[in-house]
Amino acid sequence: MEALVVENLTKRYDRDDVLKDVSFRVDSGAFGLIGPNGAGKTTLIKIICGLLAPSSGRVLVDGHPPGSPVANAAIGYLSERQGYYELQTPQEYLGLFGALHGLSPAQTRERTLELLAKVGLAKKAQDRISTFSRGMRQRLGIARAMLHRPKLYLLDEPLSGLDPTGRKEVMKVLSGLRHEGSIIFLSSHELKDMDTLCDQVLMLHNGKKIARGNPDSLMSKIRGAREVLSFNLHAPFSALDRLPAEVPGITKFELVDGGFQLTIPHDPALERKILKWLLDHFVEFSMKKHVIDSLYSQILEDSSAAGEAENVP
Amino acid sequence: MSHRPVLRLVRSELVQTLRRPSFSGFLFLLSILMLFEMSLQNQGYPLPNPIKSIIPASLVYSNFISALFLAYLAASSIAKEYEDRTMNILLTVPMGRSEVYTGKMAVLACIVPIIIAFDSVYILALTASFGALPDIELALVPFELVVSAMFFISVIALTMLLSVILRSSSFVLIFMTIFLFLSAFLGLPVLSTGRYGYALSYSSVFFMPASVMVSAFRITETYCTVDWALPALQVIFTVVVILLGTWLFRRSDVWG
Repeated sequence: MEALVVENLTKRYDRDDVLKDVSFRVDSGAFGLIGPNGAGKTTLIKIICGLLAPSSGRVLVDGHPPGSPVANAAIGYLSERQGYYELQTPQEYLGLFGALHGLSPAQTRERTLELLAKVGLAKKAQDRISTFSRGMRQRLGIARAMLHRPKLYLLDEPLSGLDPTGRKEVMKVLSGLRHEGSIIFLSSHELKDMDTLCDQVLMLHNGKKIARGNPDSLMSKIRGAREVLSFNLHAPFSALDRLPAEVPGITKFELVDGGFQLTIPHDPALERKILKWLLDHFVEFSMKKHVIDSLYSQILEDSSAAGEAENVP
Repeated sequence: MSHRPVLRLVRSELVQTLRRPSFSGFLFLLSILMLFEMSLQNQGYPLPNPIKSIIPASLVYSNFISALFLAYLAASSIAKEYEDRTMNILLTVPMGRSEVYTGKMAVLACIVPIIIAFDSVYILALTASFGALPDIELALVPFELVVSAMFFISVIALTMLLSVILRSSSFVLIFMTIFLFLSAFLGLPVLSTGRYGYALSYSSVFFMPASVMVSAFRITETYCTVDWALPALQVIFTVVVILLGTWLFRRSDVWG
């Protein structure tokens, strides 16, 4: 049985269509949901959780309607702006939800200790949640979602608002879930979050599905997708202006403070040639690549240029 | 589906509620109020009229404070959970929404006997203070306590309904404070005359238990007769409010 079926889902709010005729199925792996703020990601996840009722269309979670006790038992949900009982300790918090999920006190205790160790909060088990950082709260939220070993994880922006350390910590936990074979449905407004984790990505824009595929296939679907490579030079290099002439394919060459910036088509071979040219000329540099976000912007640009976004099967 | 998770929700929330500093603070305040009133009554019977009028007033005050505190707990239980976004998670546990709602109501209903126990102690203490007071109808006290409990449950039900609609604990509490204040003190001059008939006319159905309790003491010549129509009306009102609250809670979207 498929973990999640969404068919022709529409959600209307104040005469606006927040979601328009969205359909997809999830049966394994990690599934990413991407779109800018206001695209309808949170609304979609809340409908799957049974927190919002669809205006039309059908959703089945593990074969059951969302919000039913059986469907709720199959999901582990992490909300975008998750609230906590601030005066509780993580142990009490997980203990409460273990009980609500029907675990015995002994099972809850055992699972709580196991999960707190897994998300790196074992030493904080007796601290009040009110003292926790955002990253720690997200990890506690993930632990709560994992408590009853759900079939499907629904994680709404789990990396949003985290500092680099927090992102790393949460990504580690999510990768662990991924390797255990859990089915993950994850939303984000940044495609780079999906790159390493997701097999499939669904793009939403203005409530409509505009693209679906794995991150690489999405890349190849978009004609003219670009990467922006930013180089920071550790020492001045006078012959830099020869680079565009000697390495064909560079779309845009721009000198910036302390270095230069290249815009190139998405082409790993071209990228390697550029790096080789720089190394051959003994240029010392550090580089940043904005490939994913440029792809994402490109998809949105293409979608806007085409007028109404089309549904992609 | 087993009902054990509901019982666990009730137990867990009850423990959390009883652990709140505000709960012990409330009991402390109620005790102080009662001790203050009893210290006045120790001046002996018959009391001068101004002090005599404090006796029924004290019952209204204690009911008012108790009702307000229950409204605070009920608003915390629903509206505050929406505000703090903990409701999102609570509604994704394998329980029906009706079970969550009734579970929360059950928790608050468990607080009522504690308040009633305080009231009972107070009435007994009053009786002891007024040892020779012939007016007190002790036979009516159990009835008064039951009606009082019903009144508190009505307050809980109404606050929970408002919490589902307004989803703001501040708005709910402002509304309930005004409502309870008007109900309690609009009827107070009438109540302090001991004229039960006037009380029925002027105090709202919702605050009726206070008038029943006051009239039971018969501080004037008017004898209290128990009119079952108003308690029955209150039961019907409470049941309708509970059903409406449950229905709205089940159907409402959780956007926040």
